[in-house]
Amino acid sequence: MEVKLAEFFIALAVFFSITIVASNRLFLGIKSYALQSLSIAAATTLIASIENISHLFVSALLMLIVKACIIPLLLFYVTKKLNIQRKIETNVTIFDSVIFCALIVVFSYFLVAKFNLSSRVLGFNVIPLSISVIIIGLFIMVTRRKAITQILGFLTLENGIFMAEIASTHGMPVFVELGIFMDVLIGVIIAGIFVYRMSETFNDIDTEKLTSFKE
Amino acid sequence: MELIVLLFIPLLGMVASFLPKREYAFLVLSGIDLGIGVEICRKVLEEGRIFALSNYLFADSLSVLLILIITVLSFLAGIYSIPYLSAENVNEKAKSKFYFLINAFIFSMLLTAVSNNLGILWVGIEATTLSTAFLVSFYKNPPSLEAGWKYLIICSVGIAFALFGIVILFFSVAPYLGYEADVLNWTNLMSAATSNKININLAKLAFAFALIGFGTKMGLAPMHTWLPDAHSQAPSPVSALLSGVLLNCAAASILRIGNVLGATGEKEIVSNLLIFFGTLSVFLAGLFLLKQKDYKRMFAFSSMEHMGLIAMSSGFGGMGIFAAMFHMLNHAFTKSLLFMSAGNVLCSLHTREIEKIRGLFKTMPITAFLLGLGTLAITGTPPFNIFSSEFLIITSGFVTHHLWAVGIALAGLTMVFAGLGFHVTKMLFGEPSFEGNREVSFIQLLTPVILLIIVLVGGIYMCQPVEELLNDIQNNVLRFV
Repeated sequence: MEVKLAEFFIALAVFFSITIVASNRLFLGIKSYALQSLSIAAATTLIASIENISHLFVSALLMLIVKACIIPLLLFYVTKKLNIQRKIETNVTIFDSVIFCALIVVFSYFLVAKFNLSSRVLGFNVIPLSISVIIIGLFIMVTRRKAITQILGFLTLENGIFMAEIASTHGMPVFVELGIFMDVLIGVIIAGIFVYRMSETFNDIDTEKLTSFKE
Repeated sequence: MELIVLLFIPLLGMVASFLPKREYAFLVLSGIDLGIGVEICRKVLEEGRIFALSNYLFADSLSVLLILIITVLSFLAGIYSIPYLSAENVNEKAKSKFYFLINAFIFSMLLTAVSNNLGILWVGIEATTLSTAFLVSFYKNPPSLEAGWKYLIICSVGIAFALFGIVILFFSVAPYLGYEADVLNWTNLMSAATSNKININLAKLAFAFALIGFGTKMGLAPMHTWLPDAHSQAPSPVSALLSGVLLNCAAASILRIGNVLGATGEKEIVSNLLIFFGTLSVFLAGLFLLKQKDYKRMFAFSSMEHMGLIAMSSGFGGMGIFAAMFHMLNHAFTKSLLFMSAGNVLCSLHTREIEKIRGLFKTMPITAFLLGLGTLAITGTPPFNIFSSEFLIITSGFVTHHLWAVGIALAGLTMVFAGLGFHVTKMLFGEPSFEGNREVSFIQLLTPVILLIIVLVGGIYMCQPVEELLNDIQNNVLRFV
């Protein structure tokens, strides 16, 4: 029962990564990210109690504090402060993107079946789902043009890797996990400062306008 | 104990960057760190591997090689930064930021060099990206912001792939060894691999991800796109460190993971992938280098070429490893020499464009001399050190019958020689485009002169400790690549 529930939360995380793709407003994307992190934290807590692994509780708590609260708040703050146009600009229409995401999920199942990567901890579904979150994260980074949405794409990718970690190896060792969380948090702060400076210098954060190094 | 002190000193330097005499504090601290590095080298040569912090930190001959490159170059960069920053009229607040970040950068590189644990290594490599992102965009002008953003995003994604690779590697050994933290230690991974307690298919997948991920950081084509921008926009002492040291740290991580896979008996795939990406990088770097308009960018492409050579040569295995490690050492010093002489030109003439600079021999004679000899050295002209290591690389390629790879790499090297020779000759000779004597101060010339001496001596004479280190890397540390 609990295993099923954990899998449900993992599936919910995939759903929220698709809502990031589907959102046409920055705030909606950031909220989806927060909810995604929240559901991963819930899944982690469940796995920790099923398998009785104490350090996974730490990871779940960090997930809740850092990725479901601090990082979304930081992104909200940057978006508000910049007063940028909050519409998300895309290279691929939202409709096409969502269809594409569905294909990504199918493709991940195919990949996992091919490499025989089944999870030892949870059911068969978790590894393919986490790989699809990783690929969806990359997809967001490639197709969305605003600098903030690129950060969101990176964070989604990172969440996918976290899901793969908890499903395959009960998470990384605890001090490594701490280091990863710290790196991600500092990375988001630095990226936020970059976004702020770029909006001051270029009057925009559309990355299509960064073209001084064309080869 | 030495290892902990080695890591602690840059942390102290981060604090010291808030003091008024921060330049000199940095110089003193990096000098001490250099001393500790030499002591670690001596100890490793005498006693073999040393461990610290319940085996999470260690130093073998590969780490010692990296430690020596990092500490020597950061000390020299410390000397060079003092006149450089004052010539650029950098204010006190920015100076404080500069020294804070450069200490963080050195700390994270040392951490990757001495970490026994793959997880800590990953944290260290990601920290190098974070600490240098603001150094790349130090001048806050539009191109440097763009370069910094590109660097941050591309390298973070690359490193995330490497993390995924590490997770898979953990997954491949965990069923046999358990889920404890020290399973990720190199020493345990190696014994698991040699005793076949590893899922080989997963290990292959892990190596592929690690190669893509750390390869991004190392500047292998086609993941190199951040490298020329970041290296050309950063202040020159930082360019020297980025190019001379950081790329090597990433290269060492790839080779260590490749060594784990190689120990399972899957040598072939490691060497083929390394040779493929290496050769591709050398060739593409040659093509791009021909049409560059910015001289710092041109030297950045040359870094990409040399990283390609290192990857290719490691793929040859055996003597190739010796050659690759020797090349790593030589490239670090030679490229720093070039970036610092280019920094002198930029500092005095304030332009990055090759077209606008003519007749450097008349306006800046000593810098022109350094730049000219440095270019000869980096393109592999005898009697400089790069010649001997490139000669070894080519020889080991022929010995192991990789004729195609060597052929393509030689074509790339020829293009690099033509490109660098053509552009730099134009800058050095002809009617001066600037008037009067524009030579920089004595102290700003001191560091490149020291580096030139090292480069020249390294080409003629190989001192014994270095030879022992390189032999040990070939025969013990990276024996399975």
